[in-house]
Amino acid sequence: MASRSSEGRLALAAFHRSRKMLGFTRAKRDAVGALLARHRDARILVFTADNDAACAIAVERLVMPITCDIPRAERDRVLDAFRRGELRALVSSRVLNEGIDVPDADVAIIVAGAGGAREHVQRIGRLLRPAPGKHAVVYELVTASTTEARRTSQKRRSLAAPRTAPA
Amino acid sequence: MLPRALLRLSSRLEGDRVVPRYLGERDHPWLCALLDEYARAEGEKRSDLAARLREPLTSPAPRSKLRVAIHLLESLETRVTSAVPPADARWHVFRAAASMTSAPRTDVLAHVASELDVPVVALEAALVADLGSERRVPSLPATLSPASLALAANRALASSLLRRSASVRLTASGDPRRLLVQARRLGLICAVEQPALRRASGDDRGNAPSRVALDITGPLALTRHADAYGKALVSLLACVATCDGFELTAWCTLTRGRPWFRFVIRPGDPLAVDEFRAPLPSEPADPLARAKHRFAADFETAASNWTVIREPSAADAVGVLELSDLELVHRGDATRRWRLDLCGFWTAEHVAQELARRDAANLRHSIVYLDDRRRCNDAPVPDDPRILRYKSKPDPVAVLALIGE
Repeated sequence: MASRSSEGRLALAAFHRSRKMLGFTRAKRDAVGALLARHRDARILVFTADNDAACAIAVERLVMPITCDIPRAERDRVLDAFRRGELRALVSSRVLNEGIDVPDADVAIIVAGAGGAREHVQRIGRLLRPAPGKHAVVYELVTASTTEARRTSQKRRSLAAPRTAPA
Repeated sequence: MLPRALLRLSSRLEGDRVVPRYLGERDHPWLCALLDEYARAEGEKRSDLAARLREPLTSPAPRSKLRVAIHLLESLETRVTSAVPPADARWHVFRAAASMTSAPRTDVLAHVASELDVPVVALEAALVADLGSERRVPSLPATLSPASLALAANRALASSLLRRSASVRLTASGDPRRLLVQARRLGLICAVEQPALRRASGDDRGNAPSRVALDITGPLALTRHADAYGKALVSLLACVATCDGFELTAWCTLTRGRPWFRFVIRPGDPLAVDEFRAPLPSEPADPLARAKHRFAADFETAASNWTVIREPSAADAVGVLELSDLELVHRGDATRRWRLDLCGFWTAEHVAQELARRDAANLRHSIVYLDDRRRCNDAPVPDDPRILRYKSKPDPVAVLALIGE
């Protein structure tokens, strides 16, 4: 409905801009750099809210991007290289969420997420596949005192809530 | 082709009719504003332009029409120019970064750049040059104006609906000879019907009819080659303007499968049909025309007793006009004549109907030569000796065997 009037379109555009800014702030850029350096010997998956942020991290931190624009042949070659350890990190917005057989990783950095609890579980599930002696680490970057912080705590509460089995 | 959702948004329903929201002169102010926005964004990231276009233009634009125009502008060709193919740049740089874990970024880039013998700046620019959001806005063609963009949008709407049709009826008056020839050249699956009055007078047997109706199978009725067939169908519109009058009715769907709506194109529609060109300038007719000419030459070489008529006259087969590609005539006995069809796209049902019509009209000396690469469904081919099939090119020897030489 909002997109049917000029005012509504302006408001929507402003909303999208704010979400985009919040998804990849200067502080998050620095934090990604620091975490990649801290885990330089680990296999890392970086999740972003959109392709722009994924491309920015790819260029700034030299991390292989996996976006919807990467052709399938290249994607398969990249995932093989990640499996063999020839690539140590991948960055993606949504492509790695589901439907692709991603090799195990040791560290996940969630820079931002546009989705809800389901997307969050899928992302973390990429790391928590059981393996003997496996110790996985998940970092979630949240900008304090913003709507992002509120959404994150809501997500955590919903994940922590006990689930009832179907009758 | 416009996406289905956009097509739904850009059409309205009137009973069983679907009517596209064509763009007209009153849309020119916002189209002008849109083109200005694109011109200003030339060379910038596409994602930045997309963000700007979420805001209202300086002139208010209807949402659905704006989306169609943006879709067309986004589909303009963008050639990625980079010193290294982006996929190669990524492969070398990111693997090098993984192996040189403690080296600074600049060292990694310098190392790979020297390996690939390109400047560091060019290598860095190539890394994500081909990825959607990083692609640059191209310069717009100098000929693109609000009027030409509106026309392109209207044609995109019409051709997208045609490509979602299951059947099409095209009536044309005047001299539809070129239209009929083009329908054959494009390889469309169609039956050509003559109006009853002219047929009853019997005066147009063997001549070009003055009024015809083409019943054409639509792409959605086919299980194979629907995309190529749809493009061929759209390019037939280039020929309708050569007729004095025409009306095209397509039964199409805007959702998966059903319901079916009538989409009508008439001469007054804002499509400038007289200059219509298919959105993709592919020429599916060419292989068929080449096959026909090559076969005629090969046949005359292989059979010195026979001559080949390359544009045989039409024959009336119980109300349906039968057009053949070639007619083979024995030099010593002119009563020995065979009509030969080199089919374009085909289905087994269509071939069976064609042969049945010819039988009913006593046109028994007919050969239907089918290209296996253009088979449009999996139904079993009728077991009829007049049907020949080829995989790469039609064989004169097979035809000679069939006609008893």
